[in-house]
Amino acid sequence: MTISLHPDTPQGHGQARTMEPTAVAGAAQPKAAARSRSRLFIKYVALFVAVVGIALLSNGIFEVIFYYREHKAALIRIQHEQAVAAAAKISQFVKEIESQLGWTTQLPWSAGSIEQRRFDALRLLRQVPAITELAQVDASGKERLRVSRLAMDVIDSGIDLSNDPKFTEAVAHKVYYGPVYFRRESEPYMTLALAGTRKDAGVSIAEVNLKLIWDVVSQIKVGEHGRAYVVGAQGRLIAHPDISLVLRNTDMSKLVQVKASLAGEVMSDELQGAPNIQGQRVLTASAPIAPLRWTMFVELPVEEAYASLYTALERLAIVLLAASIFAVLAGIFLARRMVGPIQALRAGAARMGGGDFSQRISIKTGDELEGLADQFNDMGARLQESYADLENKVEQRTAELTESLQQQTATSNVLKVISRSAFDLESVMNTLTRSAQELCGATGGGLFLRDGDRLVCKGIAAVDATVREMMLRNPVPLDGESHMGRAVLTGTVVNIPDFENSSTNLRQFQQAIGFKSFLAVPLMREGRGVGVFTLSRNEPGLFSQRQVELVQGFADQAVIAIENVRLFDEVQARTQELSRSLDDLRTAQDRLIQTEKLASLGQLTAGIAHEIKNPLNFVNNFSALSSELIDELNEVLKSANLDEKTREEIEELTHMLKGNLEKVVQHGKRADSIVKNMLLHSREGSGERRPADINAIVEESLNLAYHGARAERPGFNITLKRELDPEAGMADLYPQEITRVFLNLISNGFYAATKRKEIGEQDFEPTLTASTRDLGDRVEIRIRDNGIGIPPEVKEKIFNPFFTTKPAGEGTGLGLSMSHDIVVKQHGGTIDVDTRPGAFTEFIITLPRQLAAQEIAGGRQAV
Amino acid sequence: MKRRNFLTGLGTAMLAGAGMVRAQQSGKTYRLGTLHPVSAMTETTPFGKFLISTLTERGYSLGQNLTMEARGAAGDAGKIPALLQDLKAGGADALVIVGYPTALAAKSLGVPTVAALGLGDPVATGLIQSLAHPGGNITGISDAAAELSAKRLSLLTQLSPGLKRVAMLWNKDDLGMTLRYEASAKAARALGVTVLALGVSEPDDFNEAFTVMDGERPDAILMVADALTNLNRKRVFEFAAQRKLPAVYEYDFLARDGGLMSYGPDVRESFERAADLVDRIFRGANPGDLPFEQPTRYPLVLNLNTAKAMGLDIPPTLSALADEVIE
Repeated sequence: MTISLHPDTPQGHGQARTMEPTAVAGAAQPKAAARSRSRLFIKYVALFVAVVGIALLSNGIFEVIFYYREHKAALIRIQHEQAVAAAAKISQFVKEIESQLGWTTQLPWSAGSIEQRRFDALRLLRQVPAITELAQVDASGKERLRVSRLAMDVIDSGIDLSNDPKFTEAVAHKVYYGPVYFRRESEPYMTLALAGTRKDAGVSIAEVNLKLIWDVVSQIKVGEHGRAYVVGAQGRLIAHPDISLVLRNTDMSKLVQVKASLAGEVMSDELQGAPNIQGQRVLTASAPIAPLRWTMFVELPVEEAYASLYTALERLAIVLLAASIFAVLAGIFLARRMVGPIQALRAGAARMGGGDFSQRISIKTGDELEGLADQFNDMGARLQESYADLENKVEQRTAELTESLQQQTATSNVLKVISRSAFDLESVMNTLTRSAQELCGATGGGLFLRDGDRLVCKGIAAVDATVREMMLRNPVPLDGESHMGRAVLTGTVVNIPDFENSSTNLRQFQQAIGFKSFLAVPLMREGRGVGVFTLSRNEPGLFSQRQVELVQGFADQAVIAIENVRLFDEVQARTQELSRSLDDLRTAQDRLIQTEKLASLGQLTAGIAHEIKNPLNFVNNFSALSSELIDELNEVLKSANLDEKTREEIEELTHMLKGNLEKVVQHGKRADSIVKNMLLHSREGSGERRPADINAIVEESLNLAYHGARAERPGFNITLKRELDPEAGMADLYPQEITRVFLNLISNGFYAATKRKEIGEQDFEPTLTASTRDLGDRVEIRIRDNGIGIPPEVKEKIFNPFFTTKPAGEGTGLGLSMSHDIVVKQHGGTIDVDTRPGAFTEFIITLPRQLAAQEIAGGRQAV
Repeated sequence: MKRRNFLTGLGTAMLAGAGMVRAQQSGKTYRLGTLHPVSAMTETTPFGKFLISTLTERGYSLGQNLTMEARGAAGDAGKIPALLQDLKAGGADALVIVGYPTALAAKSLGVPTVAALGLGDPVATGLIQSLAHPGGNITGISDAAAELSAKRLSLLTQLSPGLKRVAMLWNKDDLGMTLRYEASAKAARALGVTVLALGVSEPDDFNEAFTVMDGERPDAILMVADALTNLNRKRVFEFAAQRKLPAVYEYDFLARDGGLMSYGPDVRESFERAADLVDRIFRGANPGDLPFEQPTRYPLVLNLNTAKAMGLDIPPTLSALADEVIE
């Protein structure tokens, strides 16, 4: 199998460009490829390993289970056999003692001397080390002889053992195995009694030191660390390789295995592995030792018993591990073989996808994958062909698009210029002309607009200064004699390939400029020619259809621009008109609001004044009367006979009364004058209405005010300036009322100017200026002082009734309110104030020359 | 096949170290101390040899993982405590001692001690509470010698049937020996034999004892073996030979050394068992938990050379019963 890729295959130039966009995507591909590869790879490996691993594992598990069972069964069997063999050895040990003992019971007591028997007994002790003591009893149960290793020999002790089980049991069963007992609570002993075959042979009773079984037990080998031990019927330990346990008189009956065995049970599997007397976990097998009713136990530590099993298991585990590793390696190898071609295919496909159609995949596996690779290669070849075809088309198309784009860009620039300088018609025209000339490759261009029966040049491109001047100076007559004229009149495009031989009267242009071909496109608005777009070239030949279309587009733009300018001008004029109307409306509205406010206040004031007038009359009249009455009282008292002192007191009192009454009279008169003033608001008409000379009224008012002020304050001085317009002329008005207004304003001016002087400006020269001005149907009067001015917060309120800034008693607060009423309501004029605190105050009054009818009728309400 | 070998090798490598390691192979060196009331029990002496050979069987090797410090008190009981302290200071892991006074001194030493020989009845002397559970730091081989004294007397009567008077030599400063003497005297009285009590407490006392015996001629001598009497055994042998007095001794080595006859526990067996106990102590056993053992073999040893020298006829029944006859 061979797999190869051709990444170094040279790429065509056309492909190189198209490769660029895919390069970005290509950079991200290797990571994704690695992931997909590893996925498939891992899948194959995992599958293989799983298949092999499961087979191996199941096989291993079965093997382990069966091996474990068989091994354990074999172990128990072997151990049991060992126990049986060991039991036989112990049995043999006892039997030997028994047979040795048998010699002593061969002879009847009648035969042989006691000394001979003693000698035999001692020899027996010598031969059988386990027998510590031997007693011989005759047939009647009398102890005849006792020899011992430790004690002195006793002959004919006469002890009666006829009822002792040692004797009776032995006689009855030929042999008697006594219970195990422990001498000095330490050494295990057993009584072994043997009766002779003959009845008169008596019984030999041997005390057997069971410690000697130790030798037998110690020699029994059970595995490496296993042991054999013997337990008596009572569960006491009789023999054990660890002699200390025996000497310690150990009770084994608590061990479960011993308990089970003593109870005659077959050792069950659960007991296997029970702890032994040292607490070690052991496998135990037991066998009865006939005929002693002892039990032989054989135990083997569990670790040792199962060591070989564990070894086997470990080997098995290693085999499994090795097999698994092999499986993984094999899996990797096979997966590589599988994944390799797929990977090559994938990489090849990725490269083709990336635009490298010259890519060829070479897979020689001889299977379906190779077929797939071949098909990929075919596909690549076909793609390459169609790609080249596409390339050419794209190139051609791109060139067209580029050209179109240039035109679009130029158009867009033109539009930009138009929109930027929408109302600068000249630059728009020039731009259009220049753009058209440049785009169409013309020598020169012009844009002519219709002006009456002429075509005036408004836009020129690429023509030298003299020609430009000529074109601007010489409008072309709008008639059928020129191409331009015909184009405008007929609304058709004129495309002249050879100007010299065409019918036109514009030869001078042609000769001046020297062009050969000519294009004239009319500017049409609402089906009417309003101008013409012209292009000329120094070479003969028709302008192309596209160029014509372009120029037509430009012509349309020019029409739109012209239209825009016209509309803009119209809108602007209209807007100015509207804003003017709005200003007038606002002024009228403000005045109306103020007038209404003051009118209502004036009515209120008049009402109050009317009500106060009567009681005030009483006060005034009666106080005057009382004053006269006091004079009369004094006259009367003169003739009265009174002592000097009383007279003085009376005179003093009457004098005080009279003084008080004079004050009442004085202030009553003042109140009266206020009330009168207030009532002036409500008085209909005031004197006659007639045309009067404004300048004369102003002059009169100034004189009156000045002299009035001088009369009031002797030191009063002010500079009076008159700027009277001789054109001011006459106005139809109520002269008395207007004089009041002027007097009021002038005296206020005097007050403010004087006040400024009083505040401390010593060099200050109080000045009051009165000026008039003719405003056509209106006349304007200004009263200006250079006084202290009016602060803004006060300025709002100055026309309100009773509002005053003068100290109490100096002003009624009605002067300006009334003036406003008179000027606005009575005369339909306006009164405004212009002021700057600390500098000047100027009241501006405008009065119409003719009073409107409604003003006259509704100006004042009847009292 | 290769794979199997490879796997077997692997398995073996993995199992290495799983095997049980005996204490003797663990690299530790065990220190054994011995103390004899007279002569040190070095590895060249019989007692020492018995110990070492058994320990060798158990896997110890002198000079490799076993050291033996042997001390002897040269018959001076007063030296014993100092020698014991010396052994303790030497870092002894276990002590093997001989004789009741040594055992008594070692009881309070705090070092695991095995009394191999000459202890008397340890329960009777109050050394321990019971054979099965000695308690404390001492264990060893019990000695039923008090009972055996009667047996020895009966052996003497077999040798000289007309035995009327027996001289008893014993160390009267040794409680164990005194108890043994008393048991023997009691047995003698039961046999109708008078006892010539010759308690000694120092070597010089022997001449006096001999003088007494010359004055009141006994029919036989019974020597209670202890450090003192063993140390002066040759003098007793010579005296017995000169006076043609049958004598019985307690240990086989005394008969082999020139004594006429001995009956008592097998010394070799005692030392072998003692060595076994030492092994168990080395392996971590607590001596107080190790039961005292009793001898199982009581060999009868006859020295025919001595008998011949004395002109003494040994009855054939006796020589037939002897476990060892020295000719």
